[in-house]
Amino acid sequence: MKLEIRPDDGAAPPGQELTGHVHVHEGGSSRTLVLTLRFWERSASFSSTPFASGGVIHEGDLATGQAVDFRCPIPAWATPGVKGKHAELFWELEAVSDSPGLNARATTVVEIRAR
Amino acid sequence: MFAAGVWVAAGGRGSRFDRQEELWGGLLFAAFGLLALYVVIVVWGQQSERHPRLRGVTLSLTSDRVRRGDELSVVVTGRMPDMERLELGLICDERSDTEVHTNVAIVHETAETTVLEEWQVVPTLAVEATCTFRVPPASPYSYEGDCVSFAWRIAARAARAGQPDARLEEPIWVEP
Repeated sequence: MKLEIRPDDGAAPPGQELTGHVHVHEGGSSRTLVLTLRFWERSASFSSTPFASGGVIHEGDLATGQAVDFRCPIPAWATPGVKGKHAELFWELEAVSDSPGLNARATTVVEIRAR
Repeated sequence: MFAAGVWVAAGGRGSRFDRQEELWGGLLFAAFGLLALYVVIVVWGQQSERHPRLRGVTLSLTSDRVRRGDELSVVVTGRMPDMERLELGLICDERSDTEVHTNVAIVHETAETTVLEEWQVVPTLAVEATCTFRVPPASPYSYEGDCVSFAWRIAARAARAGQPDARLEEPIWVEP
C-alpha cells in the first residue's frame, strides 16, 4: 500500500481547519486510516512531540486511486515552524493505514502561518 | 592528598606496614589528589571565562515583548570610566539536547549555539544613546520546549584595556 497526504493549502492559519485528502497510490486491505497532526521539537540527537491530535478518517479497505478527505483543526496557539542551527520546530501530518502485516504510512510537513 | 599519597607509597610510614599495601594505597590516594586538582582547575577555568558584570550602565527597552519583524528600541545610559568601546547587541541563543560520544560513555548534554547576533556601536562620548534593532521575520521566536529552546536577549558589552569585556544583559520575549 502507498499513501500520500495532499493538503489543499500550502500553509494553514492557527485556529482554523486544514483540509485536504489522503491519496491512495496503491490500495489494499486496511482496517482503519488514522490521521494525526503533531508538533515536533527536533534536536541533533532527540525529538519530542509536545502536541499530537488525530483520529480515524476512514474505515475499511482502501482502493487504488481513492481519495480520503480530511479536515484537521489547527490549535489557536499553533506557532510557525522554525529552524535553528542544530534544532527545529515543525508541524507534521501523518496518515497511517492499520493493515494486516506492516502498516502503510505517509507524512508531510505542514506550514503554519504567523498570527 | 597527592603529596601524602606519594609519601605513603614511598614507604614514609615505616616498615611496620605491609609494603605492597602501602604502595598501592598511597598511589590510589595520590591519584584522587590529582583528580581533585583537575576538577578545581576545570571549574576555575570555566568561571574565569565568564564576563564580569557591566556596572554603571543601564539598559531600558521600549518593551520586553516584540514580534518577529518588529523594531525594538534600546536606550543605554551611563558610562564606565575605563570603557574604550561600548556595543549593544540583539542575540538569539539555541539550546538543544544532544548526545556526546566520549571514549567511555554517551553523555546527554544541552548544547548552546548563537543563532543570531547583531551588534551596534554606541558613540563613546554619549551618556545616553538609543539603538534600534529589527528582529528578522524568519528568525526563531522565543520558545521553551522539552529538548529545544530559543532564548532572546539584549546585551551591552564594554571593551576595556587589558580586561575581559564587561557585559549587561536583559532577556526579551520574541513572539511568532
